[in-house]
Amino acid sequence: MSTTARANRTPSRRIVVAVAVAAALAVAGVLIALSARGGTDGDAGRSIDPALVAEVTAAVGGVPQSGATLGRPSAPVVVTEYADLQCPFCAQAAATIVPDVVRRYVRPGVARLEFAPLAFIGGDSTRGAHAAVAAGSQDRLWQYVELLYRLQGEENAGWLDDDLVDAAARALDLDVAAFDAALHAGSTQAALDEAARTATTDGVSSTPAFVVTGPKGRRVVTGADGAAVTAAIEAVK
Amino acid sequence: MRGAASVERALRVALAVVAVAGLGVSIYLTVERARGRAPSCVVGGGCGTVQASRYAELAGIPVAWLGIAGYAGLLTAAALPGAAGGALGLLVAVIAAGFSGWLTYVELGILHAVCFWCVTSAVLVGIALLICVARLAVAAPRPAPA
Repeated sequence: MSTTARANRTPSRRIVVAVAVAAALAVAGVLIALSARGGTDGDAGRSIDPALVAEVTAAVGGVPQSGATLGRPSAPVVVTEYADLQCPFCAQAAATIVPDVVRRYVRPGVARLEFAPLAFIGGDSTRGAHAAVAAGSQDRLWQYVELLYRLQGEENAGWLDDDLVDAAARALDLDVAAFDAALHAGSTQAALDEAARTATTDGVSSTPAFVVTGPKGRRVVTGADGAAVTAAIEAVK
Repeated sequence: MRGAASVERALRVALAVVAVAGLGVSIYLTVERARGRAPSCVVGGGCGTVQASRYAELAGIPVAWLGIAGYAGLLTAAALPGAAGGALGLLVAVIAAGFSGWLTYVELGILHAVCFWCVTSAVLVGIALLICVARLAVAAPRPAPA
């Protein structure tokens, strides 16, 4: 190839490279815009039946809440509930066992409940566990979890998505910006790691599981067995 | 010209190595996500937070899948000799570097959590970009001496 021919080719080659880089930057810009939009689209979205919200709020109304704790911090019996928000038996326990324990033991100050979220079932369980802890950072974990259980779908079917997580937070009048920040906070991950560690220590390998600790000892109940939970509380109180 | 050809070949091999490493990272993240598990963080502890965040998906598509597509593109560019391979490599590398830079900002500035695997991928993409630019520079025709 002659020098003249090479010289003639160089400018067009540079133009091609410049166009390719510009096109690539444009594609990268679109990807970034989509990603950023996905990160803030919580304002859109679904709404949750206000009657349902009122129901779950009333279920724990008047009971002190702090983080993952429901009940008087000084209550002598501690009932730690290990649960996965996608687990149908956990939803069953939330509908039957928890209200009974709240009525008979938590409201009178005999016991307090501690929620320990685990993520056994799938990626959506992890999202739900983060959301539960984030709601706990505004002391509304228990109604938040109860609300998600009421809206539970099939395991790993995609029902526990970002839209639902944010919609539930809005429905319960959480500060959504603070909630979103807490979702991704290192302290939230630390709380989940701690729950996983204590589950191992307590020998919990399935959900739901209740670890009941009191002045007279400690009992572990696995499954949604309300009678066994009540018997355990009675035994250790 | 033989020197330029051998340098280009060496750069293509380097790009292929980077692409295979990146594919390994992306496939690992995809598998862990499919299993519903947080990836093991070799260093630090932010992998679970990052993978559980909404930024781990783009319009419903897991970002790790995009990683597989991107590194497959770089591997294809490494396999293609000449201008076509160079242009494809640069195109994919610029897109990947731009998006990877955004994700690094998300980790540091929004999530305040650093995922070892995401940082590894960002470094691999940066190296791939440098290789692709070098490949184009090597392939560019030089004016003959007067």
